[in-house]
Amino acid sequence: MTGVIGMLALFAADKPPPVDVSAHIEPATAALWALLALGLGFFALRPELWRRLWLTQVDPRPAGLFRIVFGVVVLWTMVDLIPLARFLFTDEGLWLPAMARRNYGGEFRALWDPEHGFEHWYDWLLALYYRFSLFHIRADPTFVYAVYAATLTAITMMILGIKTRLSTIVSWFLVNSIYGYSPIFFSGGDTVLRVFLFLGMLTRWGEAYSLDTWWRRKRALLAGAQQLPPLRLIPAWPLRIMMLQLAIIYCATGALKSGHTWTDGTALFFALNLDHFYRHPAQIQLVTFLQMVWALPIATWITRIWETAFPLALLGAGLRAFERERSAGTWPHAPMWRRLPSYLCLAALFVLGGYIAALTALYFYDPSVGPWPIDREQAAVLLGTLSVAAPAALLGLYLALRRWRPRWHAFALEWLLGKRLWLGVGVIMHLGIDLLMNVGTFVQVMLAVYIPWLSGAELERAWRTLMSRPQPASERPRHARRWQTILLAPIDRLRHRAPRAPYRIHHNPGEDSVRRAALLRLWDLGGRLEFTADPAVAPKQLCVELPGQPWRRDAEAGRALVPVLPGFWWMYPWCLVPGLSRACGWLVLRTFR
Amino acid sequence: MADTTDPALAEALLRAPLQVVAPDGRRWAYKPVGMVLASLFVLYHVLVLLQHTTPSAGLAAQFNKTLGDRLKAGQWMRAASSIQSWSMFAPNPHRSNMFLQVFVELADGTVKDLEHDMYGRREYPYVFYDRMGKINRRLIEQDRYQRHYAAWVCREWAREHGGEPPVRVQFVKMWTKVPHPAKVIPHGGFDPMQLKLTKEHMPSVECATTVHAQLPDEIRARHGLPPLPPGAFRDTIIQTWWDKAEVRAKTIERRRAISTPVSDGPEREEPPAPVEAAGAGGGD
Repeated sequence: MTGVIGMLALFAADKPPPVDVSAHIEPATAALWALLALGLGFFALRPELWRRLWLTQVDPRPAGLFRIVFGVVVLWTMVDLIPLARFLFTDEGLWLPAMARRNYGGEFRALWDPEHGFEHWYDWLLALYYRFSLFHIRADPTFVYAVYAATLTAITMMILGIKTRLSTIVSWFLVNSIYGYSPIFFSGGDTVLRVFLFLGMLTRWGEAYSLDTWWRRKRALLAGAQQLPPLRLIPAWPLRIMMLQLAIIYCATGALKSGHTWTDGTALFFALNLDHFYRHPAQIQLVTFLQMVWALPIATWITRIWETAFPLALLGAGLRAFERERSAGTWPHAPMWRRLPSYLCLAALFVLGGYIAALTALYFYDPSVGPWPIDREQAAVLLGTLSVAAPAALLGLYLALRRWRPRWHAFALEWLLGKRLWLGVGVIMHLGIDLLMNVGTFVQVMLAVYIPWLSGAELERAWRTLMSRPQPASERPRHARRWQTILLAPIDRLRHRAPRAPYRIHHNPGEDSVRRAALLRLWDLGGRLEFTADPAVAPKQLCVELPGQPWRRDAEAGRALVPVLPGFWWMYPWCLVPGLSRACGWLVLRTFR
Repeated sequence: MADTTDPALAEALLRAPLQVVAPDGRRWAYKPVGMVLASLFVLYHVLVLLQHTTPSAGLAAQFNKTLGDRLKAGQWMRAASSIQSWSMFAPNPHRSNMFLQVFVELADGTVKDLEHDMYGRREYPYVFYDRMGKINRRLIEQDRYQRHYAAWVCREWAREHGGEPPVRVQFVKMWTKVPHPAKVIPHGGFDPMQLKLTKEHMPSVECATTVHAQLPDEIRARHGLPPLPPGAFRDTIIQTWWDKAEVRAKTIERRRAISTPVSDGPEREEPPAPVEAAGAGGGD
């Protein structure tokens, strides 16, 4: 908490008017170095926590889903740029390559000579390290469009999970070649995209929902595996950095929103009435109404508070892991001689954070706009004290709730610090932005980067919920009053679900047929399939019994499976086209042959 | 393969729950050496990320700069394509709609509006994102782009008009102010086309003398256009390793020539020729 307060205070200091802080710059610098040393010291004393935080292994499914969703957004963004490709990236557009190289090529401009190339063989490695775009070397339309086609191909391979690590690295390089030519067209969404594509390159996100994994598991299954080939856990640290990165994005953007429109509640009114954003001018009347009834001012304040405080979601994730593993007895322990100094490190961190917060108030607190009529010295003492006392009080409250009020404790963990609240508000905010403003693929990329926050179990529950049906009203828990039943019906339909009737796969009892039937399970994310051995079915024949419908065989059976196997959902629109339905069924059948 | 499958195997393949396991059963992601390497990378990247995204002014200025320099934070963030700034709608959202009108002035004095701005021209509903609108606004927000944009206008005009460039490119900045909610709530909103439109003329850019404002011969040849007169193309100067090597070699050659004894008189040393530094700067 102290760190957050200190950071916010420092952010305030990042804006004009310039203030002469020279009298305290030395002690502030020393305090910040000490903060860094204490942070490092804490993990030096508790290396098991460092390992638990970064070096553990996690379920690969969230990373796999992230690869697909994020990859689609990257592909969408690149496709969206095609109409401007000639203007932005070729020598017939805004920049001749020499000017682009001079202005945006960084050290590469001196490293590479148009006539003589590189001076040393290893300079191309340095070129990769410096800002570098292939178009800085050559930018005629033929070359640019060829690179563009290669980029789209690499991204598509990354989405499908074909040679995933390699295609991700190639995608990253080519996408950055496109972005690196010049920044004139950049938006916030492009920055998010570039940052997360780099982190994606470090992630083993091809271990689930990829053709690589499908082929590996298929080979193992058909070669005689004695159990369904498992998915392999992946290193957690790239996903954890992604979570940290998202928290930084929100906290930074919230803290930087220090202008008066965010205080007086008019910021969203202005943003939504800018004619380069709104979807339709008729929105202006709606926005004015929402401002009049205080909906927009409240949304403005919620947005700012939610963004600035978003790191609490990280705290919540850490606390839930701690409580879960503490209950299971798997949380790493340390002897007292290491624990005690590590606690002292933490305490010292808060004290130093309080000192920095106090100094910040001393220089940057403005008594004329502050909520109370206090001077800077008072504000410094107050903020410094609060920065230490508030976290201590919150820690005490947390421990007290855990001991004496377990339900409140659970509420704090699952809701106040839970993903439902922090990611849920984000989803609502971004969907609202997308509905009322056109900001390119910013909304899509921001929603995509929420996926690394999910666990494998949560994702599995999500698939099963998606494949389920609402429980009949008569089977749901009853509310005390009728109006509650009516009002809460939509939520109850989402909360109380029952599995749909299964699709039954009939297969020959021979081992080869069993193995081929088992292949279907690798695509059955919602658990909709059941299996029955039936000697009447020919070996290797695909035969499906749909609830209350006649059996389907071969290509028809393949077509019937499309709605229950998410990996084939992309085919669904094509199945509706007369004539293509059978082809889709054949393709599904072919997959499991 | 057997005609019937062992029931235990069928159960394991068709009904047992899906497993997610570590490849070799270990808890941690790597063996000891891998853990050390991964830890060092994570520590470095996280430190650099925090240094890059926390304030670099005020009380943190000295710490931030020293840490950034020691970690070579800027270089790493560039290499990792992770340069970032998150000042979206901050400190305040824009409260005015801005547009840049782009005109070309031809040799006969005619002035044509190229209609590059979006004022009154966008079609609604606004479904497909329009980057040109953003670029048009960016020309105002970061006016260093204007010269380059004007140079492109000159080249593009020449490409489309038989190789003949316009004389100059003129910019006119236009803006309307979004009214404060207190003013529009009584009226239930406002009509954006009725807002007062303010205009301001920006410096014009000459096509003949501006760097890269002439269509180069290579592109002219591509489009079947006649080449430029000799010396008409104004190129940018970039000093590459080759140029530096050339300068160095010439300097050495000159010094060696001068130091050769040619007379009985006292040896005189001339100062070295100034090294040409044009184009070595950062530019925009």
